[in-house]
Amino acid sequence: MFKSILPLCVLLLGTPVGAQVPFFPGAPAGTEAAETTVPDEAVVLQAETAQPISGGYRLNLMAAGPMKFSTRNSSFTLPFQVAVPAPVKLSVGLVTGPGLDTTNSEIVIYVNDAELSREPLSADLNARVEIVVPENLIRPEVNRVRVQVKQASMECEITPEVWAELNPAFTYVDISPEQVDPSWINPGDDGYIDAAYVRNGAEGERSATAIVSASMRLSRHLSRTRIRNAVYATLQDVPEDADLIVTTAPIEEGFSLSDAVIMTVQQIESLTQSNFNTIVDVNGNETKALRDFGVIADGWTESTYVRTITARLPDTFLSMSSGSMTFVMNGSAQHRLSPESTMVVRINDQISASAALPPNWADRDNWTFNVPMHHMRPGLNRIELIMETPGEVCGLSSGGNMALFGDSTITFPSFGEGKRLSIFDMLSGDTVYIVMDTFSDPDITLVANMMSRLARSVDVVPDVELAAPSAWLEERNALVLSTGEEGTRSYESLFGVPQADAMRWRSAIQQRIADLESADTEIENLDTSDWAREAYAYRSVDIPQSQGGVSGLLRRSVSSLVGVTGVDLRGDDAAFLVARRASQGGTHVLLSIADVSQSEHIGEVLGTSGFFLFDGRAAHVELNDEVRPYRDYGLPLVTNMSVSNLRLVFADVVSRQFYIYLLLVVFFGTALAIITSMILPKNEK
Amino acid sequence: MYIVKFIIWLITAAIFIALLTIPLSSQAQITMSIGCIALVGAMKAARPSGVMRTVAMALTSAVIIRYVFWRTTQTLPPMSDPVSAVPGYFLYGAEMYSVLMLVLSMFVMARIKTESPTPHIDPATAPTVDVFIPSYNEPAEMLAKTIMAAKRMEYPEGKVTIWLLDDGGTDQKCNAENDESAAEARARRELLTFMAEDLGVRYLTRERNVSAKAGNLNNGLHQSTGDLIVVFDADHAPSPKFLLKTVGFFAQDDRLAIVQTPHFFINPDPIERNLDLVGKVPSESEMFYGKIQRGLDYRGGTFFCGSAAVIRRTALMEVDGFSGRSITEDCESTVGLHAKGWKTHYVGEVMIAGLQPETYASFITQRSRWAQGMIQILLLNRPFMKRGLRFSQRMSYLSSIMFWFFPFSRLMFLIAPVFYLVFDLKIFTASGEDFLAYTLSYVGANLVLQNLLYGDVRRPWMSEIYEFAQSVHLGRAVLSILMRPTKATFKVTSKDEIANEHKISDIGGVYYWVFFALLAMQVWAFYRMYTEPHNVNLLIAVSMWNVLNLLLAGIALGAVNEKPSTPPAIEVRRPGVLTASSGEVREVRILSADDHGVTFSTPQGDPLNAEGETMRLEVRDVHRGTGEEILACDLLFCNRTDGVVTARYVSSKEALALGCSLLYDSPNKWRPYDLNTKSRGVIMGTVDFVILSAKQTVRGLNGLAVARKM
Repeated sequence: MFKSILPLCVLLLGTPVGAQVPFFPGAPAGTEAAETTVPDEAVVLQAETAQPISGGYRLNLMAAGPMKFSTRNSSFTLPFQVAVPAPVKLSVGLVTGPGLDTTNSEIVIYVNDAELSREPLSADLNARVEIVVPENLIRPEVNRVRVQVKQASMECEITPEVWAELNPAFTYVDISPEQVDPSWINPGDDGYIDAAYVRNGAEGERSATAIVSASMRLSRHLSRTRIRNAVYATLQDVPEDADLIVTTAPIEEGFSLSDAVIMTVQQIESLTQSNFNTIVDVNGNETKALRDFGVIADGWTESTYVRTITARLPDTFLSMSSGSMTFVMNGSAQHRLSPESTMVVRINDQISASAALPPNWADRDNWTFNVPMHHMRPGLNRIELIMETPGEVCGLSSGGNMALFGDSTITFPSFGEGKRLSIFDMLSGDTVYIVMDTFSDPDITLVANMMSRLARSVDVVPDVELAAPSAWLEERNALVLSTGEEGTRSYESLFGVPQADAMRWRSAIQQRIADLESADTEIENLDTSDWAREAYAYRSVDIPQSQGGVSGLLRRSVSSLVGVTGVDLRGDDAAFLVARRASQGGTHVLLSIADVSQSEHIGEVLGTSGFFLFDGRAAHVELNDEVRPYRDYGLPLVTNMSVSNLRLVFADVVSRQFYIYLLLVVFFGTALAIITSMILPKNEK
Repeated sequence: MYIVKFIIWLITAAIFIALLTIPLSSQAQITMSIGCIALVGAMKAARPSGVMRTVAMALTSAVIIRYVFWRTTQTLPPMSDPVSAVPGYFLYGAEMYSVLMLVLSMFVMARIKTESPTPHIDPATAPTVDVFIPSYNEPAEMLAKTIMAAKRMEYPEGKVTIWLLDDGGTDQKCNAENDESAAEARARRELLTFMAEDLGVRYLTRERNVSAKAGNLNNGLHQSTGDLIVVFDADHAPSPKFLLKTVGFFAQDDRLAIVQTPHFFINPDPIERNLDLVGKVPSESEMFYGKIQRGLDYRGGTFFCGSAAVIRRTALMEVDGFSGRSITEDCESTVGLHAKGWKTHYVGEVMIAGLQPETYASFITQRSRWAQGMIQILLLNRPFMKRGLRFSQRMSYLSSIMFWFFPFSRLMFLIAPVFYLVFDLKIFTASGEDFLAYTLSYVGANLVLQNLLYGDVRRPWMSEIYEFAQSVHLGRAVLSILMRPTKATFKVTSKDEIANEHKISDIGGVYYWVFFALLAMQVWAFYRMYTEPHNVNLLIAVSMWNVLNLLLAGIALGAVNEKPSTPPAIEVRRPGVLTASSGEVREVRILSADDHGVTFSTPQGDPLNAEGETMRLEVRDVHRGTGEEILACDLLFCNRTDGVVTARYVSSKEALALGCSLLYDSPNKWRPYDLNTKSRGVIMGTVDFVILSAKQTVRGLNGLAVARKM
């Protein structure tokens, strides 16, 4: 019996998730890494920042702790990733201690195991080694920079004054601008080459697939060049029943970059950002740790650090509540902050608080300050923690990196009763959409009240009903006020509004909405950041340990597991987002999948697995060529391999290969039945 | 070794469960479900037994477990929306109740006990037997027939005493304040005393009607001395072999307390009759007595069903006689016996013939009493906690008792679609696609599993029909007993009622309201489909549920439309000798018999001339002693149709004996439905169900139209 069960147990537990090793924050990177002369403290990749620079972008290379060479012969391996092989400019900055005999010490730099530079160390505080790495040494995916330092001291022994440390401010690679790959851009729909659009309603699925595909490509592009390369949307050629259109057509083709275009791009960015963040539900008077929002230990080495977290407040949250937020910030090691360093809290794009950071930090020191809460609102809230310091990075923390630890907390006040309406006018074609941003349903009274206010400037007071009534719990309700257009005729009949009347007050309503949005504090622009909710993001990372990387499945959970559909994890580096569509009440939805090594595979996966989107809108995972997803995804870099992860991966495999699951069920069902028969007494009486 | 096997079982079960809780795409879910159900369907065709049967149960369980996991983790409405959450959780509870019942069914039916050979009885050492026939208000003719049938039981001479235990002629009743009632009771007592003397049995009554049937039986118990007690309800006439096939088991096992045999009903129940199902599908009781009791027997959980059982006196005395706390003294008494370590045994051979209630109202009265009594046992005796019971026995009792909560789940299923279709509450938060993928596969697995376990005794959807047709009325009964567990009263099922006209049952009107409400709701659903195209998938899914309720409600209309009953006739096929009033003697072939007379053919020519002509019929009694005894009685010629003569008995003790011989000597001829007939699969059973619904809906509506004209 065991013989027959064992292989299936192995099959169940051995999942294609890359190397089956536990991975962890702050642990040795593996056998091969240990063979290199890694200092006592292990190197774990923490973060890198992509900055647009002239003619390309810059990736900072850094580690979680101080990149300190504390033995006579030690090295760091720092990986970076590029999508397309091209020459890169590598800069390695080094700071040395006063006891170092610089003339007898040297720094050796390897890129992908090829030695590129061997120089004596410099005592200059801003010393750096700059190398142009030829294209033939660059691999299309992961590349390794190994910095080896051989230290000699003026004394016979290593003393505390003998040290060298990589200067993160000057340790980076500059990567040439990446060209927009035409293969990214597929026809979104008939007649719209290089464009995609999405509709609400019945036709959503096909269009939604297109928009996911298109927006993924857009966001990949956006993360590189920040709109520089003509990513925009236009309303000029939008189909009449489309809600949103994005296109990657070059700007030279004649479309102007209107406000609407910018807004759309912002939405895409916002969408991208919100999807990758954990959304934390806050139910009352409670304290949440930043760990709950996905922050484990954020290194802070730049002059500006921005961390965005997303909190969802209940619909009873009273916006006029006078509560407060409390941040507890921890420091690590000894830091000498510039006295001008500040912390800014932005809530929903509004600066809610700013304060000077205490200059002296003990290890895991706490710091608390209050933040007024009037910028919080029901539903999703984006909270940005921004830490800034003037001047160079070394002024921020010459003794090492700052870190914001996950046990920092946010204390939310108690909530009162309250309701608010948000109106967003999504103009497309002849359809006016008024979107209720309410989570209680049915809320027809609120709509009616709102409409009566709108109707003051309109001759006809329309009958109001919810187009997507209470069945769509926790879903934004779309209220279609008037239309005579194809595709929404049923709504017209629902509301019983003559088309002539409808057209007449439609324009009045548009104007009135604009007036209300500017004048009425209770009505404001729709925040699109809640397009994705209750999401899980996963990312499979499999970087050979010889390159100092990590392996495993990265997971960012929000609430209960909701399932997966049709995910392909066969690639070396895949990312996917699993989310719950509130309106579908538990339908398993896979929003997006990306396999960096097989980008063309995306379309197939999307096309064949029947994915669909939140409320007909796009939510997606950014394709990031880098191995370090947490910056973009709000993912912790490493997570212990867990049964839950394995279960999910297994679920993915069997969801795609039905027959295997069926066979397993039959096999184990039969085995269980046979054993049951064996243990049942012949006659229990 | 058992421990090792058990550990392997645990590991396998854990893997199996883990496997079934994997989140799947809808496609994978459908594939798995269809695959498992198809495999079980294929196995079902081969009539699986032993391990194969368990495998089939495991595979259907896989689909059910997946549904339960999905339903629990994905579909419950949020508590932040109490208006949806409250009915949502009620519905969830109803579904989980159904799943629990399936699990208990599988536990009970995992194996069924095979029949043991009947032990030989040594006439010299055979135990003495007291036969109790408790009565309350049954007519004397019925009692005479039962007594006569009991007297015809084969057993060593002088070792059987038959007691007519009359609770209708107690001192309390004879001296009632109401003069008319008192006079009736005295007359009844006088009549039954005379009848008992005439038939050679003991008449016994008591002072007061304390503890209903249990008190009556205990009175008999204390007045008698036999080693064994046999209980026959007033309408339960035994076949001659009853004692020979049951008593022997007591000699084999000193701890055996009860031998229970099936109850067979010679007339159809009113639902069966009103739906025109007689002879077309197995009777409702076949499932319990044909299957469940055998499964309970394997688990050591067979219980006394109030009649057709033999009970050891010493065991009864150890538990102070029959228990009377609940109104189902039978099952309650068995709980006490099991708790004391006594055993029970089930003999699956049908050996008594009883009568079902004739009308829908009586049927509901009877079922209400059963439901209330069993729930009383649950609340008052708590068999799941009672010390002395084995785990398997606790589960067996739980299975039998929990069944009676079906009215709540059935009513919840009935009203669930209303919440969405009318009030737009999402009490089951799933997309239409997922709803179909999971719920349909669950329903399919449920039907297949039931078909596997009970297919030869219960056609698909029959359980649902019976439950639906009782649920509204039983719901009230169950609710009342839950609120006041000690307040139930023993309502005797009417045994002498006759349904003699087409009419809507006095208590059946509620099903018309249900039907029209469901119909209106379906019309509203179609309207919503037209006006809310974005919700159409969900509306279709919920509508399918509503349509199922509508089909059941249509059948319920037929069930409450009473049809006149015909006296139950038994096919006899025995030879006899007829002496006409003219003195001519003919050999005849007796074709059938009922309570009132016989039909026969006369191959040698018919000597009868006129209606009302008397004749004498002689039949050889094959079941008494040497087999040479002749039974004879006078008949009145009634009519002749196609060579078949119908004649009525001239009332006499001789006629009673002959009638009993013809009716009860051959139990194998009782069943109108041949259980060896190939059972109906789920698909064809569903087709039958739909056709039945269409017919009965038309009949029910027609009945309403006729009633309104009158």
